Amino acid sequence: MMHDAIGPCLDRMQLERIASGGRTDEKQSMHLESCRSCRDQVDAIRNENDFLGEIIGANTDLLQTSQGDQHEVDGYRVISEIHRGGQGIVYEAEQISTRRTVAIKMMLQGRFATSKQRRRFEQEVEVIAGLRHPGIVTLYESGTARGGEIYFAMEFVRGATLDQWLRSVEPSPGQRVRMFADVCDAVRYAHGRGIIHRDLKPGNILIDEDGKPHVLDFGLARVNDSQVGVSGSERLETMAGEFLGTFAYASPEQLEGDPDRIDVRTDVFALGILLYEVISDERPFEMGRSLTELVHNRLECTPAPPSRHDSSIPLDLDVICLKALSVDPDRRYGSAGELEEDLRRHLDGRPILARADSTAYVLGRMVRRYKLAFGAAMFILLLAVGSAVGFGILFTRAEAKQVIAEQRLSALGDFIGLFNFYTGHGKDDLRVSEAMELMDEWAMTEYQDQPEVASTILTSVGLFHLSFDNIDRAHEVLEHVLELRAESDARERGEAHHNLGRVWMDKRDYAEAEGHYLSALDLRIMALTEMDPDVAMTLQHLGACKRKQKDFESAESFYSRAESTLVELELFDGERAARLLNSRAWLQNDRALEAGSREDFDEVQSRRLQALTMFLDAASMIRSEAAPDDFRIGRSERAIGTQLRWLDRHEEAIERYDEAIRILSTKGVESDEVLATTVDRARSMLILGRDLETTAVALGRVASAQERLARERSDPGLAEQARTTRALLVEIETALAMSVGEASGR
Amino acid sequence: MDINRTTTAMLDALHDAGNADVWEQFDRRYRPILIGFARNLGLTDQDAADIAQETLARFLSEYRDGRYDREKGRLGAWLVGIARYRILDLRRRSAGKYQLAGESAIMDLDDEKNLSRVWEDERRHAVLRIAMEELQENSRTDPKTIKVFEMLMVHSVPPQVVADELEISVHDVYLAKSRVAQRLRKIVERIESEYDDDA
Repeated sequence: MMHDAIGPCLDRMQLERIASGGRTDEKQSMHLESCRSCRDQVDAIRNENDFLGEIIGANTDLLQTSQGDQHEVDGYRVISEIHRGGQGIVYEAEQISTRRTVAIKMMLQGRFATSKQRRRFEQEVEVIAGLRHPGIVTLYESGTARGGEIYFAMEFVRGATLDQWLRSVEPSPGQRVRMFADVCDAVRYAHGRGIIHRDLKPGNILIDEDGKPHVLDFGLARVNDSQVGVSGSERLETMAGEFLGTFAYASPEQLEGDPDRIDVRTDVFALGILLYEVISDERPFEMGRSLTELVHNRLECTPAPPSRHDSSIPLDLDVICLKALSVDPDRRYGSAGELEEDLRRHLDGRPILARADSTAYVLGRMVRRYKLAFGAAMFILLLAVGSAVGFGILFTRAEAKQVIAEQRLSALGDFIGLFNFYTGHGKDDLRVSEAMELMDEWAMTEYQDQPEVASTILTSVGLFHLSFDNIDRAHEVLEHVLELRAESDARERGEAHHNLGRVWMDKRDYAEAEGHYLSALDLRIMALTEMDPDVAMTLQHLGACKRKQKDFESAESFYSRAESTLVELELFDGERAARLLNSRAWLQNDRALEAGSREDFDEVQSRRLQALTMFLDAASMIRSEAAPDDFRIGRSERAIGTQLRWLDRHEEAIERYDEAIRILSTKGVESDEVLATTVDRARSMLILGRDLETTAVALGRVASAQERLARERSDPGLAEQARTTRALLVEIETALAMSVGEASGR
Repeated sequence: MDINRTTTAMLDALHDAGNADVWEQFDRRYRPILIGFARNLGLTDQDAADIAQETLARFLSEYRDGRYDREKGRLGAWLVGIARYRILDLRRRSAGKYQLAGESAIMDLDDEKNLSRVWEDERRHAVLRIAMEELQENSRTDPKTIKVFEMLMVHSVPPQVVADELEISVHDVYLAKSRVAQRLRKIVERIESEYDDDA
């Protein structure tokens, strides 16, 4: 047998110590590396400890009834046990040297903690130690207790947990929202430091005697590895696939156990649930017997607006809550800061920034994710038909006048009965798409003699198909709408043409699209005059259509007409204006490329400058409305960086790219945008010849990530990008080799 | 009475209406799991106890009516199915005023995978508890060994202190811990094999 281990084998005590996370000295590590038998023994002891840990976890009452588990910590006098949770015990204690009262948190399973638990705990200590905010419980120190357990001493907050506070103090609505905005501020602060809490719940929020909140227990927080893509710092353990949060406050992405999708918006979701409870005293996700509640239960994460529980809750708070509770993280607030901003705006009586989700989006999301019961499908269809004509007309037809008066969702049961009657369709597991077909058919036969009603229903159905890329079906339906509206007024015919224009844009037949848009424009101007936002919308679409056809002059003129209409109407502000400016900037970008192909470099320069100005204007418009780390700002920064790079202003470009990467990384380090921006940045770095080594490392990572993602998604476009990244990497490495050669040649 | 009957053997014996022992044993094995399961789905202790009672009663009657087909699925899945209906029924009965306890209140009763995972966790939990009880009550393990285990693990007493107090060496302290782990492993293995129809 080969036996070339360095030094003598370790004894049982040493092996035990190593297995439970103790340090090894140099001799021991060298031995361990060379001796398989010792390594196996360490593994066996770890297994044993994990298994015993599992046994103890299942027998916690054994732990609780036992006396003598009062922990002893040097320098502290333990006064009493405050809380015993999944991961730790919290004591009230006195720090002997300072006589101050502190809270001490100690690992529950003490020395027999599994290595994973220990790492998590150590991480918690590290994380909290960096946080200083009046709304976050301050960490004083951490260390090892006499029994070998890790502990930490933190600020002792005298007060109640959030849920106790709500019950005992019964604060006013204003007090509640103000307190909650402070909670958001604390979480925003932590997010700003790359820290996600991941376990926000009432028990983790203490309200002191002055009504000020203190967020505690960053036990599940994970240092957000947002800088990894660039700086190359080590990626922290991600607890892959493991769900840690508390069910009641967990986000959909946590429930799916997908750690890659967890980011600051996971906390936003938990804050949404908390806010909901704080303002309405109800949980957003409750069971019940009414149809609406059943639907919500099916969709898990689409709660009723809080005002359903208490009609005095203002609409703003409904919108804020539901935005925070969106299933899709992209639809939520981008950060706790944005949520806080809207709460403060609400408190100050200023307009909030959130908008209620559009119907088409809500439908799209639901169908993609769920197969719905028949009743649920009907509920959604009615949403689709919308408040415009939906309830009123449909119920009139059904001769259920009292229902019109109420227009309450709980009356939908009646409607479903009628629907079944009309269609003879008693199936109760109909897909929404099938139901849509039925709706379509039904509208056609039932409203043959009322084309206005039928066409309104069909417009919703058509736009619905369009939002699913179900283009052919959308085309058919919307074409039919146009036929039905042959006799209608100009405004309605204009709408039909505009929607068909959208269909043809999606089909990439820009000539057809243009025809419809032009008809829409004529009809809309006829009905509404040029001074109308609908007209501006059609003009903007026409601009996009012309840009796609590379008729840049016309595109420019349509865009500028759209802009002057909006300016005239005093609607040229915020998101709408930013979007138009961005379109115009991209048009200049296209024109610069075209000028480049003609080698007219003066024109390239001037187009690029124009694009840059427009991007900058759009960015400042977004900035005035959005939180500082809103992803739209990230995108703008990237676009600005790219114009600067083309203008050979690399120093400035790099600053913009850094900012873009910082902001976009909050949504995940491996998003396509972050990867692509890192490549853009590397191009500027290469030209400046700066930090090539670090740049090469970052770029290598990007290339691997792109290759992996391209495989996973079988996305040839991304594979091509990965090849480009590799090619750039080779260039940088060549430049590096040359500079090394130069240095040694000197 | 054979206290270590497998689930299969228990089910066979359960057909005999006069066999109260088997039923008692069945009840002892599954009631705690059902209670834990229901609590995990967000029910209060009282409601969870009711659900467990109703589920067991319903199971017995369905089983004796011959409605449980072993070919169609495992016992665990069958019990989960009954419990699920009982919980839905409870929610219907008390709709509106129903208060959810605990922190897992949004558990979806239609998510079969989730339900069976909760069930499986509770079952494992029950096995580990029985194992611990067995170790403490009728173990062939040396009392000193168990004492070491309790001091070291449950009370987190440092190994040197344990050694001094029990007048053994630190090395022996670690060996005692290993013996307990081994013994518990064996017990767990045996109990797991008894749950042969619902693992």
